[in-house]
Amino acid sequence: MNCERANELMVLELYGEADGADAVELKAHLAACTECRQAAEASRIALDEFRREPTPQPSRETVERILEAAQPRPGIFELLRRLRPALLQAAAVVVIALSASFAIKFWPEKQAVPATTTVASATATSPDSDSAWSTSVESLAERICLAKAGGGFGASLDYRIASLHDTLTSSRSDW
Amino acid sequence: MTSRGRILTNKMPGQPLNSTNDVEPTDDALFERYRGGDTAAFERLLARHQSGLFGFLVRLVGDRALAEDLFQETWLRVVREAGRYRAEQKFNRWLFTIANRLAIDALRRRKRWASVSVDDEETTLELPDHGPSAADETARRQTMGRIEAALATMQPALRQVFLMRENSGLSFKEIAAMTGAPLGTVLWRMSAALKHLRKELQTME
Repeated sequence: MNCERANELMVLELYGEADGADAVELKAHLAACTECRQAAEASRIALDEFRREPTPQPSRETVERILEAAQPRPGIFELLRRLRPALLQAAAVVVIALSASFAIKFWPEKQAVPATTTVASATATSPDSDSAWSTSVESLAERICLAKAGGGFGASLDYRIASLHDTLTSSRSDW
Repeated sequence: MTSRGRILTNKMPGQPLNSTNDVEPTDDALFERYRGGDTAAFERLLARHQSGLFGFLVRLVGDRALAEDLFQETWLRVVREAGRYRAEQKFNRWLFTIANRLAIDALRRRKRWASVSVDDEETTLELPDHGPSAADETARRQTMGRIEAALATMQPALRQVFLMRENSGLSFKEIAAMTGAPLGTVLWRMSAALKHLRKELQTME
């Protein structure tokens, strides 16, 4: 064994990594080579000296930052579960706000629509019914006029027919 | 546990106290527990490796502030990449691989991978206050200064192998696998590092 190989085995021996055969071989070389024997002894002393030195420590702040970062982060489902009460409250507020908005928008229009118009609208739901309605009103008005010209139906009946005529005419125009 | 055969104790707050009768769980067992949500296991893991890893970094880069940043970044990567860790990697090998890579990148950015100044004041390490006599403390400070100077003047590639073997507890074969260098090269570097250390300590006596 040459001194170069002995140096390699010396390193392994110092750290307890030399196998049995290597250790025997190294021992034989060191017994014969004064220079390597002195180097091995000096290395052992130098390592002991190094190991006696205090090991530097990281700052407390650094360690605390690491520990904080190591805390588990909640997943999306866990996050939703934790936020569920707040989310439900927010959803309730949104529903109430939307309901109020619709109510404010449509409520006054419903109040303003006259009952007669509602009836008329319900009856006249298509262009065909619209035309039929118009014809009926005109026909009725014509007949009333003819009846009145021929002597009328009597005061009470005339009044009722006139009222009906007015109502029908006005609702038709409104509509 | 480091190669020095002693269990590193954690002096940080929040450390779980271990009974002396407890069987110390392996790094991999602790990391598995952490991946299952046990942050106390992470604290133990950090406590176990903080001295070795920080000692490796601060002596490799020769700058305490930079070492603090690298130490923190190493552990943050461990946290971020916890899901990708495989048990057969061996935790301390994985940890030191991350740290070593970060340190070399940082040194290259600072163009200090080729040489580290002996006069860098930030490499000075604080001695713990154990109340030694003034003479003892002076002697210890002198020895520490000599060792620091020896490390600072050591070629970075030698210093890397030396510190990794001393601080990580990894075998030379594992260091060879980690650094991508042949085992013979790693052993030669370690031998050269020891020769440098011997020489520096002898010339300063």
